[in-house]
Amino acid sequence: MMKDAIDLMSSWINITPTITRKEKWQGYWHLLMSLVLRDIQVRYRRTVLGPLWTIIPAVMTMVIFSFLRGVVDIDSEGVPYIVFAFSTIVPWTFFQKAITNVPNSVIGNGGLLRKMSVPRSLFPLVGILTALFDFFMSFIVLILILFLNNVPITIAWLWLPILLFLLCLLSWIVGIGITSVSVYRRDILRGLSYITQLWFFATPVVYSLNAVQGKKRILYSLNPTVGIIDGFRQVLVFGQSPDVALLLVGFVVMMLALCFVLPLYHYMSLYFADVI
Amino acid sequence: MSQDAVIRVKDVWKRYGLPLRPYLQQRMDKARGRFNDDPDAYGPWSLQDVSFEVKQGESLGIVGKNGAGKSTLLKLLAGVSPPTRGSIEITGRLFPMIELAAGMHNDLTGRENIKLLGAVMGFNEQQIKDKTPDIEEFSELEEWLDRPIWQYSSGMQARLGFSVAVNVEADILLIDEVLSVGDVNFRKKCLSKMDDLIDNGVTVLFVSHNPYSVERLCDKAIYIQNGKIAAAGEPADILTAYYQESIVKEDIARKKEGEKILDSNLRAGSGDFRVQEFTFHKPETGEEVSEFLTGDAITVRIHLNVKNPIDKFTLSLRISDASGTIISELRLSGIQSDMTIHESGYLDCIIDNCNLLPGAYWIEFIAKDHGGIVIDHVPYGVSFMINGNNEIFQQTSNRGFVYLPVNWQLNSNRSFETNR
Repeated sequence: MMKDAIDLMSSWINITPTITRKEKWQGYWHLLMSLVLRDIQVRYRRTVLGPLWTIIPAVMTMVIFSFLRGVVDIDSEGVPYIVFAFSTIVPWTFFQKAITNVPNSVIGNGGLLRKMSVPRSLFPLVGILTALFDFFMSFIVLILILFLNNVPITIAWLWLPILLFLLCLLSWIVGIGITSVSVYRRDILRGLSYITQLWFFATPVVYSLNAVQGKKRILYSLNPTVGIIDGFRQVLVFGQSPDVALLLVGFVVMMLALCFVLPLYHYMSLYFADVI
Repeated sequence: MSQDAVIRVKDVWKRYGLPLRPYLQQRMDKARGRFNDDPDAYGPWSLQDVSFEVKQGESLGIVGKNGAGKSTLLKLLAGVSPPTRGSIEITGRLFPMIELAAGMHNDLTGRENIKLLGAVMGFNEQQIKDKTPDIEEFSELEEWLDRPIWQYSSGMQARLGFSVAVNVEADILLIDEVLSVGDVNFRKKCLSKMDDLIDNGVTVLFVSHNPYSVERLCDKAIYIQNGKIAAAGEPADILTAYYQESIVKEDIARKKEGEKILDSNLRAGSGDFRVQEFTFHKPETGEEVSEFLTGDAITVRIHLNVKNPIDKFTLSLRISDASGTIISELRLSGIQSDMTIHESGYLDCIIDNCNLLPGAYWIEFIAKDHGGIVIDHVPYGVSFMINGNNEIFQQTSNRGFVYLPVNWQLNSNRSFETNR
């Protein structure tokens, strides 16, 4: 009698076995993709121009500096300025969006952080992947512009995945650095737009790398975006390999920053739910 | 320590925020040779020395006032916030039913949000596909599912979150007062879904202010007070302890308030007569007491001060529990009775069998004249206690409000036939 009752119970008890590692990571991947999809989807809701907004920031920067060039003399090394500038504005815009998205993604998902024990490194990735989506959209426009200006596709384009990877890595390092501090005190977030503007002019986006010469060039080269962004221009516009020495210097700086930022982020992320 | 516990909380202490500053302060004090014995010296503790275990299939209720540390405890169990000291062990898949709206986006439609919440709550794509019909049906949102949720009412948003959450398959559920969402029918559905889950062997931790949900759903309860476990045991006992504690505290507050309430100048109503005070008596002896046993006869004496004589009036005496739920309204309609109030004195309300279960009860009084105009209104300000005995506890386990005297009879089919 008792045994029957127990058998009956066990057919009633429906407990999922503790999930495997693989299933767990599949779950996290699915969550990551869903959050990226959400962030991309909602940007077009309640707008008139809709998906056009993915490329508008890059195009507007382009327009602004084309006007500026009408007043100030900016050397474009013999190629049309639109090609010269747009080839670097597209990766720069990605970088700028990514480092803004990362802290916003962590803070904006505070509700999730206070509720689920998902890996804390997931939210910075959401910010970067969302920016990456915009990058690819703008890149299509960029290819169109290159094509219209008869710029050929060369073997140097094989450098593009490497450059893009470096840029993603850099925006991740900068992003989690800003996030680590911002979850605790919001000052950097308030000033972030000025920091990115300063950084924008400290990078050869709208002017040529050759415009910076002499002693200040050494300090300038320590900025990791210099090598990467100029690399995009060398590859896309001139069909040349990037300046590997510049990239290496930037990479070393990035790794040094990572050694500092990663433990900081790891420590802070334990207490996200307490402080956000 | 038992083997089959699925949740083990051992000597857990929690202080919010980054532990860096308290740590540095402590170090500095030590270096200077100063010892600070005050436990709160380096910031307030949200939880202090909390230990308990929950076995598989048990449901544990957690009660306590706002800010006592209930939500902190859930956060630690959910694994989103680390304990400052102590350890927490959890076996099995845990799902926190807290902040169910987390991850929702206002500009997405109900359907899109279901997919998103599914991902947030740990479903894979196939599971979401399989469960979406159930979720949509449970939510009862129908054509609203295609609208963005910024157009939803707050109740509808809560319903959406809850519908996804109840479909999560988990071994352990943490529930934070989510049962209070939606209208009566939806709440009923949620409660019965919870019953189902518990019957199916899911372990539940349930935080609530509502004593009836705790009594209904839980096998055990703990009472948290100022971050410490003040009592642990049977839900009914814990709730009694919880309310007795709040009565002692409240009594002081209420007494002050009660004086204010009994200061008739501050009360609403025309004031043709005013209640001066309530006293409670044993009808047989007339002795004034404030504590009774379940089933006792009680006289509620209403002392009246009359300014203008009143011929036709209606009185209501409401008895409510500590959480404000009205258990009974006792009405005296002056149109039916020929009672008139012409001069000051007292009115006795004699209850023959007061079958209320043990606890504290509060009195509210309203008097109206025949035109429906309020003469006097005394809000909840006066209380009396009912104490229990073993026999009644065995028959009711002190769940619910009232004791109904009962006889159980077992008949087999044969005796049923012969009886007929």
